[in-house]
Amino acid sequence: MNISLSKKIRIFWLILLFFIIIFLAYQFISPGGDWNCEYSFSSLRGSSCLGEAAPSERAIKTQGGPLLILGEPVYFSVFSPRRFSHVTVQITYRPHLSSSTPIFEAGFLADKKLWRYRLQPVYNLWLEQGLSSWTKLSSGDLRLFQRENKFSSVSEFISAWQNQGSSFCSRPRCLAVYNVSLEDAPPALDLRSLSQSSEDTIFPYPLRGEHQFYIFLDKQGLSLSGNLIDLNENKDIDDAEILIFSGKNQVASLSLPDERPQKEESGDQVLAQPIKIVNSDLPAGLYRLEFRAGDDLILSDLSVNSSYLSVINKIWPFTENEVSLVTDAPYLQVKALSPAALQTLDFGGRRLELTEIYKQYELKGARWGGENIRLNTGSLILANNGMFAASSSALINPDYPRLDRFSSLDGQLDFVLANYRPATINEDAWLSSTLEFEAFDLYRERGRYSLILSIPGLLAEGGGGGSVEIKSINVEFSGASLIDKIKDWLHL
Amino acid sequence: MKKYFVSNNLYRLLARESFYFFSALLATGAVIESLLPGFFRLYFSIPVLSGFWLLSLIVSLLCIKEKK
Repeated sequence: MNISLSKKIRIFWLILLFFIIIFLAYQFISPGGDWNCEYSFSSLRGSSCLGEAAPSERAIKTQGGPLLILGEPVYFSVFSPRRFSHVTVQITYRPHLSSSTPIFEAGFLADKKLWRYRLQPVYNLWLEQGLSSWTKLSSGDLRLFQRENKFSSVSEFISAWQNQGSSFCSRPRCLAVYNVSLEDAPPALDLRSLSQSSEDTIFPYPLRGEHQFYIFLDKQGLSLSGNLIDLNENKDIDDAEILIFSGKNQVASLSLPDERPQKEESGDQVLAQPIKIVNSDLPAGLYRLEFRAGDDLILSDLSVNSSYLSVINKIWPFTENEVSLVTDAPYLQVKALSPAALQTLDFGGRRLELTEIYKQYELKGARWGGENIRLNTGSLILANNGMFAASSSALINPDYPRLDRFSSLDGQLDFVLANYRPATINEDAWLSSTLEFEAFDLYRERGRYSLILSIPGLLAEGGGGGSVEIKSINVEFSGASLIDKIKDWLHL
Repeated sequence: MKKYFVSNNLYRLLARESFYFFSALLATGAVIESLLPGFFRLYFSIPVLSGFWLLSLIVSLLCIKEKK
């Protein structure tokens, strides 16, 4: 058979195109169950599975050199052809950090609605260098640092901790933790020492958006009530829910779907929608309440049959009146989102003038322990690593102090327990850290995960604190292979 | 009215088939990008492919001669 040259050429490129499509299909299916995204910042490749670092003013791409991070957080998008169940991130870097920016973490966006990232430690200056004079014990990735040599092994410490709580402490709150799961750990305070009072606590300020609370029921049964107000300022549907946890177990919930007739973005406020949870079966004990809602929703007139009602880590009081709060953390982070909220606030006698919106201000308190906060008007977002309450008698903090950039290693702490894998030093003097994440529930949009690099306290706008050079980021996704999937479908 | 025909030589043939190939590849890329944004671009440079496509188009057009 005589085939013309024209047909031969056409058959050739059709076969080539066919193999290109087969190659792309193979990459998309990833039949081996893994997918690798490797990017070196010194390479000149323009397009990559790793997106550009954003915002650009926080990360400088040097010509043929590493990525220089000057501010935090920095975001990347990471492409994957499909979902995987596990992801390993290897970062090669050189940290130039200080005591004001001792922690370098990375992670993925897990909840888009509440903007929650799942973070893992990359480099911790204190654990690597700052606690060098302390006794160090290791068991796997679990590390125990002791100011004085009291325990001979990590397992001995864990056993004493689980059985006797923090009784090994010679002073209160002597144990700080870092990246340790505390769901099965004993609370940091002795619940028997809490006052037994049957009075209800009413939180006097409306709260905007997502909040978490600790309550303590001194007898069986929970009774919670409040009102929900929808501001209808943004375009999203404003579903909400209230979840109640005992340790890591969810014990009750209330779903609050947005069935209000008012249109989103109309600015029409709905009359307060009453909410109520009555659960007479809940035994006495400590509970965590989670109010999951967007920023359009206001929770007001919150009342609960507990004499303790603490807001965990972040509070956004929504009122034009004066606000008076207490917190047990030695610092305060403040952000105003509207010009009307700009003011001079008082934190434990220290005053802070807010002059810019969307700027995060920080203020350190004069002493360790409870501090009063006075605001001329609400509508500020207040945050720290402690609790907020309307009065000191309502404040309860069952959490262990976390080793963060505000921790004082000189005085309060005697033990630090950390789940931390030290950085490895490469031959070329760069450091390398490997992070592991469960990826099945990570947020993924248009084929991309959102990766964050966080160095709390690192400010690009002249705030100092150092910098981090990133040489390369290698993201390895893994999960079920094609054969596993087929077996799963066939129930083999 | 002028009439045209395509000259019968190897360059014209290669240019025409290259134009068809790059058109098909770019169309495949467009379909894949609409389904999986960024996936096709991981392996192929769109500016380079577009450049070859344009080059093959220009060469094909240059090979068209006026019929005498």
